[in-house]
Amino acid sequence: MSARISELPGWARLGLLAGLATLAVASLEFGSLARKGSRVFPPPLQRGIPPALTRFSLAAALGDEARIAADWGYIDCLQYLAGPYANDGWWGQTLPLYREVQWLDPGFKHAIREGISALGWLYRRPEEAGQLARIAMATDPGEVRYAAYIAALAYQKHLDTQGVIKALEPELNRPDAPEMLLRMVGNLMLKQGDDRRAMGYWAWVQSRAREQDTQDMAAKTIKDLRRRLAAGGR
Amino acid sequence: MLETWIIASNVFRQLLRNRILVVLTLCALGMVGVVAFLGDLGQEAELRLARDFGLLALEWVGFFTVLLCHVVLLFEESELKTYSILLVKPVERWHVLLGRTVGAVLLMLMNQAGMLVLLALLAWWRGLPIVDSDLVVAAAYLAAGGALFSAVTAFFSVLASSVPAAAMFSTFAFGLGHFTTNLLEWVEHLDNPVLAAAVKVLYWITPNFSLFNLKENLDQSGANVFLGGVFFWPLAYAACYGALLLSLALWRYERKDF
Amino acid sequence: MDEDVLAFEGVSKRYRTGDFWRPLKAQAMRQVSFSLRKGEVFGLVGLNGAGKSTLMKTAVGLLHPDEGTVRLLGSDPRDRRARRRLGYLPELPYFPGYLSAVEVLVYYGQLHRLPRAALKRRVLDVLAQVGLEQAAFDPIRRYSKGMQQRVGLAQTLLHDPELLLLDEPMSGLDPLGMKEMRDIILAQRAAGKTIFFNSHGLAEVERICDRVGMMHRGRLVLVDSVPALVSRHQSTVTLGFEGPEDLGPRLAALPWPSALENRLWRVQAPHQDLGAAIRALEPLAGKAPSVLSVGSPLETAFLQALAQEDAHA
Repeated sequence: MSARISELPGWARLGLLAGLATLAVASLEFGSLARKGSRVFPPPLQRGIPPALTRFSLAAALGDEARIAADWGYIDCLQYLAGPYANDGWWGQTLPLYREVQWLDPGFKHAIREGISALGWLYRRPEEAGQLARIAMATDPGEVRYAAYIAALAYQKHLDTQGVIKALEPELNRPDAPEMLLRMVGNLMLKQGDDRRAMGYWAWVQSRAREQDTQDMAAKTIKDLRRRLAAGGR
Repeated sequence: MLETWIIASNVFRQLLRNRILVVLTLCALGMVGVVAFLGDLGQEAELRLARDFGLLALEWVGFFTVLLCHVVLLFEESELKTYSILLVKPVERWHVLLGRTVGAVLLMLMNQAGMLVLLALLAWWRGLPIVDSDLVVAAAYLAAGGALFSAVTAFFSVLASSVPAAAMFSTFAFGLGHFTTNLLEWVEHLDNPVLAAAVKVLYWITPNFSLFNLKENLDQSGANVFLGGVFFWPLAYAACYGALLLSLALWRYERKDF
Repeated sequence: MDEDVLAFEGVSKRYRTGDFWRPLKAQAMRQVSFSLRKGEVFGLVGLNGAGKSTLMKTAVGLLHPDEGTVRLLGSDPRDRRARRRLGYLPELPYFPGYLSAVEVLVYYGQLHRLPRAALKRRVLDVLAQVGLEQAAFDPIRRYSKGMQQRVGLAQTLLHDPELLLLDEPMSGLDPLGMKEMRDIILAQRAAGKTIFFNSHGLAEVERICDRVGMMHRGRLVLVDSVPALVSRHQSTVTLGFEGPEDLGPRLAALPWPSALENRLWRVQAPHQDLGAAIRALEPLAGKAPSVLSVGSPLETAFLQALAQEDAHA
């Protein structure tokens, strides 16, 4: 090709550029439509902004990196849960942190379920757990697993431990159930006093746990339960 | 087109030996290790985090590689006048412009491919299915976005009066190009038609890099998520918008005095 | 004319200077017209900033003239076919520092579509021709200025062009390098090539060229054959002696120009008047004056042309 753009007649040059511009705009519009159609959830900014939101998360949401911000927020959540925040209203920032993750990416269901578990049973904040679960269900009505958590929280409110375990049973059998939840249910069983049932449960947890913390906890609990059973427990 | 390929492959070779870009390549590979560590921080969401941060690292390495390539090439052209000889060879100026653009893309692809291979090796070692066909396709789309960014940087290299100006404008376009989609969606809900129209024009003019971000599609099951509009239109956009920018740049480049 | 390999017709070029809010234009070339005949060696001389490099760059298409037309080998300089038959050496050639001379020349050879099989051999031959066979595979960033100049010359010769345009080819070369460059230019002329180069060195131009052009403030003030210039102008001798300022009136009475600089009187006389000048100055100086420099006929022609141009300006 030896034709030079600068040597084309003005109309040809403008025509070429206008044609390319039109095709580019058309591709952009159709591409954006296709992208919108492929989305499972509306973008964060169309779902209302949560009360406590970091500037980083807002910028990431605007900058089309909400998913990355959700991942980073999840790391923040885990760091926070492991931290010494007993004086912070007893891990009082747990809900805002998980709420932010949920807002950024409602598809990060594992994090949301973990947040509900931590709030409901680890840090004894069932109202906040319920709030998180209801927000998650409202955004993602197709996700029926949140219903199990809500039901369990309802039983929790009535101090019906058996009801809690029963409500969570379908969730526990899922391979991607949060390990925090497995540990929490195990502790509920211990509180019920049925050591044999608890030992069977913890052995099952040990067989399927991937995290070392859960493995260690299961091993220790099984050891304690064996000692108790040997000493005449139920 | 042969001349374009000769120039592109020579640009790739000379950039490959540039120390700054060697350091960037090493940093890119180091980032893969960081990605694996970040995955660890995520405990049970390890796989998701490793994939997401892996793609983010690929995108950023692509950005820095392309930007640095064009900065080095523009510096050679404007300060060292290395192009005084090349432009007198029997080549058209579009061969040179396109060759530079493609050469930068080749180096970017090399870095990104190296990162993917290393990520796959780390994933295999750790027994995590981090790299699969969906991730590779998502990475390919980021590379397509990187190719578009190379055209953007080539455009500013020709129009800007200095190397820092070209780098600044290109970086600004890259950043803005990630915001315009959500900005438009936000403004459309406000009751301000003037603002909405202005943002719409900005949305059309600014290169849109959101189209190439397929991280959200990774969790959707099945290969079909990459078919249809999500697959085709970003590539069409990259081709048309890139051609438009290079045509505009060429219009100026053909008349430029050296 | 069919035999003209390079033709300028009323070519002018302005550069933009100043700030972007207050742009100014500097006239780098004004209405330059001349032609270069096939097989000749043409030298272009002038002061710094006269427009020599501008003319050279306009000839090869790096600059676009604001007025006039340029024909290079019968075509527009932007035509690839013309540039295929052209070898150009810019003033300060730079090359990608991380490549070796061999790699750079192979690259340029590929752009000239030289046969792949013979290309590397040809590259090594040309590098030997310019004296770089030892350093052929070293990265160019380790080269001295003179070595880079030789690589520049090598790339002009690689594809055996019929027209060579060399911008300050002696720049950066040591005396041996200059001699080698001169020999290469003469060998190219003997092979029937047309050579156009610019230089500050009048002696080189006088020695090598068939015709010479002189530029001053963007205008081509003189174009003539070297023998014609030499026959019309004399070489001059500059004599010097130390003496007081009040010798001025007595020196002014002599037929040769004189000037005082830091108590040193300089008198410029034609070569043929050397004896008479020494005899006239001896009584004034108190001893025989020293010969400070010898000016060639070309230098005389150059200075005369400059003076005439400045008088008309």
